[in-house]
Amino acid sequence: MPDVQRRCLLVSLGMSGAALMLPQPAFAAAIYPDKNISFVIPDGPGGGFDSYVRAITPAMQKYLSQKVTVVPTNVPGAGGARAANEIFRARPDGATIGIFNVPGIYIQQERGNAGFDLEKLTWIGRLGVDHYGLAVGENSPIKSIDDLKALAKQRPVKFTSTGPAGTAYNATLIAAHLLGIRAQLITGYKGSRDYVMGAVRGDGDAVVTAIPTLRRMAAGKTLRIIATFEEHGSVPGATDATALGQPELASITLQRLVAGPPGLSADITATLADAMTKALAAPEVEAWAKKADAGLAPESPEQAAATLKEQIAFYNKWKPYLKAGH
Amino acid sequence: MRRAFGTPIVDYLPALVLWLLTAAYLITAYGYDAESRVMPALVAWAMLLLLLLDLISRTQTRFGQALTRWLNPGAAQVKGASTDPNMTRKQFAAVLWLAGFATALLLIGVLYAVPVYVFASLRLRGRRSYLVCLTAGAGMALLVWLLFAMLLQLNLYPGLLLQGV
Amino acid sequence: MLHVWLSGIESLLQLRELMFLALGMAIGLVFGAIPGLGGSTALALLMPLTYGLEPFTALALSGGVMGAVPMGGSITAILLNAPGTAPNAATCIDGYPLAQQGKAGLAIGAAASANSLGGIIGTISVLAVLPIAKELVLLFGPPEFFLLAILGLVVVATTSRGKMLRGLITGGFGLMVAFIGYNNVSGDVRFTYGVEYLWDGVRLVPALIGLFAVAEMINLMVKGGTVARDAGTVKITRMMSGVMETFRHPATVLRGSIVGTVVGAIPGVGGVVASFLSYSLTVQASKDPDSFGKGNIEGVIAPEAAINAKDGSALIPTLAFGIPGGAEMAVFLGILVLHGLQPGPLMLIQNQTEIYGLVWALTASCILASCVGLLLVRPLAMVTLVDSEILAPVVICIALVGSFAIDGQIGNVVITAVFGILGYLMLRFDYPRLTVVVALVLGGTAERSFHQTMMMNNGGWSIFVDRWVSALLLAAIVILLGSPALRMLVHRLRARPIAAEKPQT
Repeated sequence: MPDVQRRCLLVSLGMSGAALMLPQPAFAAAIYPDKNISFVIPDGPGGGFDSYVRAITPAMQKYLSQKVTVVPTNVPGAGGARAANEIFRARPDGATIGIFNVPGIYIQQERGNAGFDLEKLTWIGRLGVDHYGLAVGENSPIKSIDDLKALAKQRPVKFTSTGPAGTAYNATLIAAHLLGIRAQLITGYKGSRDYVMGAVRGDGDAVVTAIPTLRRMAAGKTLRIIATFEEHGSVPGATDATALGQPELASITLQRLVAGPPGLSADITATLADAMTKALAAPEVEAWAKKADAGLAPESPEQAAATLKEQIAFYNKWKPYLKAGH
Repeated sequence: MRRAFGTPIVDYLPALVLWLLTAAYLITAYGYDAESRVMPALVAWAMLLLLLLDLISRTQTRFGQALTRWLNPGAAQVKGASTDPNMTRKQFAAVLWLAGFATALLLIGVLYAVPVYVFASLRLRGRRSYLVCLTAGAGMALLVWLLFAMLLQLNLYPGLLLQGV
Repeated sequence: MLHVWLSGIESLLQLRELMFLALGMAIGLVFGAIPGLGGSTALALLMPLTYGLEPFTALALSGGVMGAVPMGGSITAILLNAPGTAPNAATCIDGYPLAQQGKAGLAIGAAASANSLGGIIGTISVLAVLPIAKELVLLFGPPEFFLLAILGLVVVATTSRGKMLRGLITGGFGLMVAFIGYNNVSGDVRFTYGVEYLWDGVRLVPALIGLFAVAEMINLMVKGGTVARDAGTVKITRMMSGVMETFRHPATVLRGSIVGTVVGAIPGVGGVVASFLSYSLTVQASKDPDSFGKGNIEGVIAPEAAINAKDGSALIPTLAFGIPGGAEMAVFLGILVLHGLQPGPLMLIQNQTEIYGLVWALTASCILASCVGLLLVRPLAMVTLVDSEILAPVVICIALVGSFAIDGQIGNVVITAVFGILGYLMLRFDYPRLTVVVALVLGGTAERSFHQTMMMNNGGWSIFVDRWVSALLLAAIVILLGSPALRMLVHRLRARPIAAEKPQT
């Protein structure tokens, strides 16, 4: 090798060696937690899941036995699959956990070459759950579910929604089936805010989305909530699942479940679950939740795993109908 | 320099390559169902036509020149062939340096590729003294580390070789 | 109304708020300058820090960041052809040639004043429009989005003066690339050939960084020398005359600001369209369109005015409905939610002081950032004198790593490198890059909105004329398409009597 190039190579190696001396992650110690914990968020900063995680991580830090930082880490992309992969492949040392949109992330897994398996993850708990509801534009002539059913007899009811990989798409189709309404979905909206705006504008006749969003829009007099898919309706003036005679509607939910990589030890899981539950009960978190109209609904690790199984079963039951599409 | 219709073959290459890529794109598009393929197919067909016109406009034939005057008058003043005989070699070299850096980033990760690239580039291309190269390389690595790893809390990509993804 | 405006200013003029405003401005300036980072990254970084602050202070900080980012971006756009943020790519087109001519100071001065003026005009428009914001946002639905996208594409295609065929080709290429990835309408994934990274499509910012910054660095490496072609001609003292240039072209500033305000208010269309549209319209309206792309100062003023105007109006859909007007707004929304401020129709009624305070913060930061930019012109212009062998690796480093830093995906680096090579080839073979950018941005919107419109109307085309905004847009497209032909006709008719005397060129 020519002299100049050999010298270059040696110096490059030397500098790499210097780079190695920059801080590296600490080695695993006996007590957990011994290093910063990365709380992975499947979305960019500013989204719904992002807000939840950033609201509770400071509180969570207080309830951990050692002084470490819980770092909210955004890993957007591929509809949540990227984040799921990162957690699935992380080392089970408790340094990486993440929040999941169930059943949204299950729909991604079903896509095929996703690379992760939700049922193998170590489930730690739940931050919250949202039920869905149905609303129409403020100026719409539709006043009730019966009106919708009447409309459906003349032509398919148009619902605004995301694409087939989104939770809203599936929620809308399942709800329409249960309510016996012939539905046609206007897809393509990029996110929940977009397709709700579509309903406000009148692109479609109605929209199915999470109740907190509907409440916010209704308070601003842009939407009218006709029904909520809960056992006991929380919105005055809107019917609920029980009144409609379709209790299964209440199974259409958006769960914010937290999990760690497969093989996480029971001790670490218990520590994290404990810190999370305490954080969710902390006064500052409860104050935030009230202001932001964010539901807090903690669950134990076992409950969370059970919830996952329930949601997967529910989705699988409806899969044949969903494949038929709009 | 081989010519076709009065123009060096080299000048046809960009439009030709793009035409072939578009054709492949179109074939792929037809594999999707109707709703999905509408727009891509439409654009691809239009592209094939436009590229054909572009190819013709580069020829020295009468039709070609007419096209150039009508649709591409700005290109009529042909950029005279560069006076630098080493142009092609320099271009390849520049592209290779870039590709090399990108590959290094992929293989050995951000923290190592940056100083290696800066040092190598300054030394082999810029012929600067070792001191300058070393300082620059170390400085860049430090800057990248401070800005991205420390401030942004970003996990600097470790590279395929050093931590299989 | 006036008293709410004033209470907004009053709340801002507290020492703590002003300090955080200044801090935000400094951060915004730096993050705006580095390609790949930008307002959204800066805000995301500051989000946890705002946790302990009062809501209004957090707003002052955010406003500081958002107002300063464009100025930071324009500096690197002019000096290195490296757009700090996506909208600044339009500034590169004439700003960089100016730097090459040694007039970097002039360009930065003009950018600074265009920034400030555009910001002020944008603010006034926003304040005037805020009361009817709700109705305005609701006027734009899928049919309008589709026509807007087509309008944007048509404007830019007809602007590639003298290179329309090549402009259409690069535009078509941009559209083809825009269709890669998951299709939200039908649910299938297209043109990824199995590559998981492409599921989300080719991201705009890495492609932009490659197309402009990296391509230019390759060019420098090939040519050698420095950015400023002749070191002796670098006149840094032209800065003040640069500032004055903006005042000498009031029509351009006004046009840019209005385009920025209008386009910025439409969610999902974004700042890139605002700046490129403003640039293209200025070229079309100019008496000497061929001088653009070679260092026409109006080519710097137009986009810069638009970018800052759009910052204010992007707040409209964000605050009125919680619909973020862009990535930056999405993060800003998160900050609002974190502080218990719920964006939505209620916010416009309940939190007026906060909103107006924010708008003033934006404006103040924008002007401050321009001043700081001006102060730094001298040292900054020196960059154009750095030898290419030092400049190129440094810029390429920052460009590629910055591209990675956008969301931590190493695939971004590949995109940047590929588009860098593509951009250089386009430079070398004389294909315009402007159309690729606009096509990339608008391609997805165009397709999606078209399908949505068809679904809304069961396949009928009448919807485009039934709605008055659509009809207006349709008319605009027809006029724009027809105007070059019309103009040529008028030219020919006028030139006929003189043709007898003038020799044929």
